[in-house]
Amino acid sequence: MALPSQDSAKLVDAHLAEVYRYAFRLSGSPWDAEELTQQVFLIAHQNVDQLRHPDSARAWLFTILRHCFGRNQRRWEPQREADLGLELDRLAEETPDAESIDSESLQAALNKLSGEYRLVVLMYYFEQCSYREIAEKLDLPIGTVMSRLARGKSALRKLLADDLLAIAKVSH
Amino acid sequence: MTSEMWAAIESVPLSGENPADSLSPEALQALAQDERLRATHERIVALDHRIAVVIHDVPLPEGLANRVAEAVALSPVRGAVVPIATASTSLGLGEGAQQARSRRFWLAAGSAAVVASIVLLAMALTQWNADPAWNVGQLAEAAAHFCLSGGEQSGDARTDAPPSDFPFGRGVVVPSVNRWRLIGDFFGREAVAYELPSIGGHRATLYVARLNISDPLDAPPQKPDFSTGRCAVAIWQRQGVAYLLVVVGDQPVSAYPWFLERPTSPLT
Repeated sequence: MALPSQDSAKLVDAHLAEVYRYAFRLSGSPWDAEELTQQVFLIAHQNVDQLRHPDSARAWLFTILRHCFGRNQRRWEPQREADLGLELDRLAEETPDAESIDSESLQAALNKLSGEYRLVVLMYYFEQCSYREIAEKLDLPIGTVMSRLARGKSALRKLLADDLLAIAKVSH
Repeated sequence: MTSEMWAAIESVPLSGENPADSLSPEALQALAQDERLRATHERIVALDHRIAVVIHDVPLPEGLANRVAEAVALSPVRGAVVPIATASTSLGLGEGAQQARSRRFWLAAGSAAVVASIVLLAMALTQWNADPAWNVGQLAEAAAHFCLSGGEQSGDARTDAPPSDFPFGRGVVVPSVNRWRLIGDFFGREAVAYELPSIGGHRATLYVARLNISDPLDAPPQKPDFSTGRCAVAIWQRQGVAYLLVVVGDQPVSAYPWFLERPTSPLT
């Protein structure tokens, strides 16, 4: 049975924080995150009859968010090739300590990832999707998702490590 | 270890109880044989779990809930859900009567469908060249996206007399200087965009176009028809001319009335 339209308000109450946080991580700016969040809930409100099960509301809203984010990005900017190399020999030095990561450094690194890598990485970390779920939701081959995820995670680690290195240099 | 095998290791879902369960025997063997790689893998798993926690650490802006709730409340719902009761359950008819009723129903429904098809075909033929009517909510949403994507900035601003087909709207604050742009494609029609004076850090544009709108108001509404965090849109139509007032800024819904003329009280 479909949810009645007045339940849009309940959707906002229950999922606003998560949608905004996801939107912020995707867009990297509070302005854009709020814009995206509003778009998501307006689209959800106008199509609330499509939501058959309240339990799937979170996944449904995230799907709308990803769609809005993709639509707002006129085209994916290319990722720097230097960030994407998967050099197994250098994994250790390019992996920062877990304790050194905070919200700001994470966002600074995410902002440097191109949209297509950022999306896959966020689906992995924020939504905690498996690569199969990511492939299904983005309608991509599993091999493409695995490769993109590995490269995206590797690039994120390098960017985080570079950031920490830069901070260390400044403090010395 | 190959890049493909490493990609498979990197793709192990975070939500699993024991990540090693998701690794292939080859990957497990490769990790078991290389102590340095295994140590790095453990650091990466720890980092992954740290990122999965930190990623949710985003402060919410003050008033966000109110702004979103306000925007949702102002937005029309597409496709209301109407519960349908079946005849057999509501009337409690016997089986024979139900069958006879069912035959009559399908005969009537078939006839109605044929008649409806003829009527629709006739309407389609007569309306072939007519403009589709815009729903106010959908047009307002589309206009917001048009403005936020920079569509309003297209064309050079002019200060000479605007085309008389696109008169400035009544009820909107009149700028001291008429700055306007001609827009070649505004939802498939030509339009004039009048720049209004900025008020309180908000800018506003009045679009005037010959658009067909279903069930419009004939004056600016008291509240916008659609809004997002940065943009509010109000629509009305007067003497066949459509007016779209778009306000862009931090508090577009609150700022919208600033761009309307205050009603004058009658002289006593």
